[in-house]
Amino acid sequence: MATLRFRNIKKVYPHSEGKKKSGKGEKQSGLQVTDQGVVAVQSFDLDIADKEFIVLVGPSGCGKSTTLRMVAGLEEITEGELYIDDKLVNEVAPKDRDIAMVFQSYALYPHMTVYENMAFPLKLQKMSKEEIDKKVREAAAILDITEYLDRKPKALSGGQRQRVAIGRAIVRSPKALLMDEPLSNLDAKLRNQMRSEIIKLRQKIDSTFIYVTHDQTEAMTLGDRIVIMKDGFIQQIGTPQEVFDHPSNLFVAGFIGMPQMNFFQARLTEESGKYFVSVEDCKVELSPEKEKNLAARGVTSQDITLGVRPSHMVLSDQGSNSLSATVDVSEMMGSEVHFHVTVRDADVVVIAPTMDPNGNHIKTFGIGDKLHLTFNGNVCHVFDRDGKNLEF
Amino acid sequence: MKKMKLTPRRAADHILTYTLLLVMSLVFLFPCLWLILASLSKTGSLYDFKGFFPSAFSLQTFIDLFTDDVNGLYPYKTWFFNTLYVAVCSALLGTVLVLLTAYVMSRFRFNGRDTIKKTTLVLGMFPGFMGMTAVYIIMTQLGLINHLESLIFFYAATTPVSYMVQKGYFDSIPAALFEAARLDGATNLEVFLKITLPLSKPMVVYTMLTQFAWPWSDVLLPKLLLKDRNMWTVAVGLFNLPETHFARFAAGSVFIAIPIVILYFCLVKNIVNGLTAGSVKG
Repeated sequence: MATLRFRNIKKVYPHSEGKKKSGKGEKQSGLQVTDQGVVAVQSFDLDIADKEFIVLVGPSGCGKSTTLRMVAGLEEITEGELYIDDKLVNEVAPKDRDIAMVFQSYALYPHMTVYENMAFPLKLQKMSKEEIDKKVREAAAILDITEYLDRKPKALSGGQRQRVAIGRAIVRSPKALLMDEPLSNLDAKLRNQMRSEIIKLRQKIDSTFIYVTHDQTEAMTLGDRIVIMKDGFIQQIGTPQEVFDHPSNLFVAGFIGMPQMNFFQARLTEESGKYFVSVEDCKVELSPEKEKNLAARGVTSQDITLGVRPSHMVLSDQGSNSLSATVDVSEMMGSEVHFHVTVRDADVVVIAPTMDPNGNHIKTFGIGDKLHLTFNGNVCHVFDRDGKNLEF
Repeated sequence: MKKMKLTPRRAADHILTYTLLLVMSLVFLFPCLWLILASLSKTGSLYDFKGFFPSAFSLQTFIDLFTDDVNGLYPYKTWFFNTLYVAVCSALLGTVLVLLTAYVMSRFRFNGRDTIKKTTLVLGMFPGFMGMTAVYIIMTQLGLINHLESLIFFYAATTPVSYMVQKGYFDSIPAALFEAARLDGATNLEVFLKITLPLSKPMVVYTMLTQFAWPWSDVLLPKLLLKDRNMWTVAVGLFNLPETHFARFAAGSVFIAIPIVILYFCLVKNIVNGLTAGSVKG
């Protein structure tokens, strides 16, 4: 149980010797490079409430793991302040932070049995044998690993090892539980299963969770709030629904949601207080709510990038005021079909149901078929040419 | 498995290979065999040999080695225990020092780490006897000449320079294990004692053996630092035997080899593990 506050946190990895004089401002994998070194994380501001489940998500090298390791105390904080329960912990050693971490590689001690692994942090706290035994068995029961307590880690499967790693973390009831891509070494089926177990676990133990992943599905399903990061900067913080419905920029829009959001080069026109977006021959008026937001920000007519999610694309019967598309690939998923189509030069994905609510099969399309698409004004997203959502 | 046909060419190949192997093993084994036989010589003199081998055999020399010190001239028993004391203490102290050095160099990042790494690499290339004069002067200043402890200090203190093999082994232990232990509440020392050491058993054994073998057989340094006959180690003592006592020399050499051979045979599995584990990552 703990609150965490990040205040303008920055992490710079100094240049290794001999590389000091390389050009400043030079971009390397998107991260900013200064005289001091490579800036892995910057301007990181976040308040985490007690017992909240926060997910840090982003592509490789975005700084999410670095941020987590700074919370753990495994990385020094270059600038800024980190508070756990209102106590500044920048200079506090990892062992004194009362924080537990689950590593991607499990990091179980290979020479100890499962029991000894889980008892290790308690032994270091000089707890009595009876108390250690009680706590280890409680945690083992929660994670359903009681029968493996006498085994060494090498005699366990990947999923069991991950449970032990989680067990070792929760056994001492830490203030905050950090998880660094804990499921990425597991196969797809086991990952889904462990994901739901983490959700259950969360209801059983009172702890603040910080979870790092590059998988947006994990982020969406687990997090109370998601922090989306890229190149060391926070892109957006919000509940899964918020970031899905109102992505703050093109990156978030593309990163969250599966399949990815479709983007069109389009034109935004403002006509006496009403806003229209036009792609090719298709002109759609935005919803009143969006019009209000745009008007409030004084947005004028301009070239934009329009984003529409695959599930929000609508197959249209009529040829006028719609986008003409050619089917490239059709993926049958059972309850729905994913059409990969080409609209002029752009690749677009459309999700269409295979049945209507009465159970009648809906007409489907094959490769090379022509079809017409449209979308509604309340579900499209309007980004300026720099990628910023114009509604924000 | 189908047996391969023995063609003339293959047969010639086999004969050549086995002849070479035989010759090579003779080259290596003959001196050992000769020494063992010489130690069993009845008369004990080098001039009493018939060709290569002694004319008559007896175990008397081995008995004399411990019972008859020729009026205090050749106290083999004392030398043996001197050597044992020096080798055991050097092995223990040296192992602790070299493991700690390797651990620090492997796991900690600090100013001057690279400089230390390079310096020790270069220093390690100089042969040990280059510093003999300095060692002699320092030991004189410290009043340690003629003390076995001077040897222990020297052996233990110089070994951390060759920490590279141990560092390689520590490097191969995943960093996440150390981080997990630190988060679990362990201090650096606890991480070392409870995580690193148990995972490095082969390397500890290998280090102990090498730290033991050097003082056990070294002759140069004890000769320099130990003046009193009763302070000598076996190597120095044997070196000072006249050739009329050749059987004594041979018996002494054979006897001093026994403990180290036993030690190697008991721990050979661990040594091989240790060597390969240190050199190959993962």
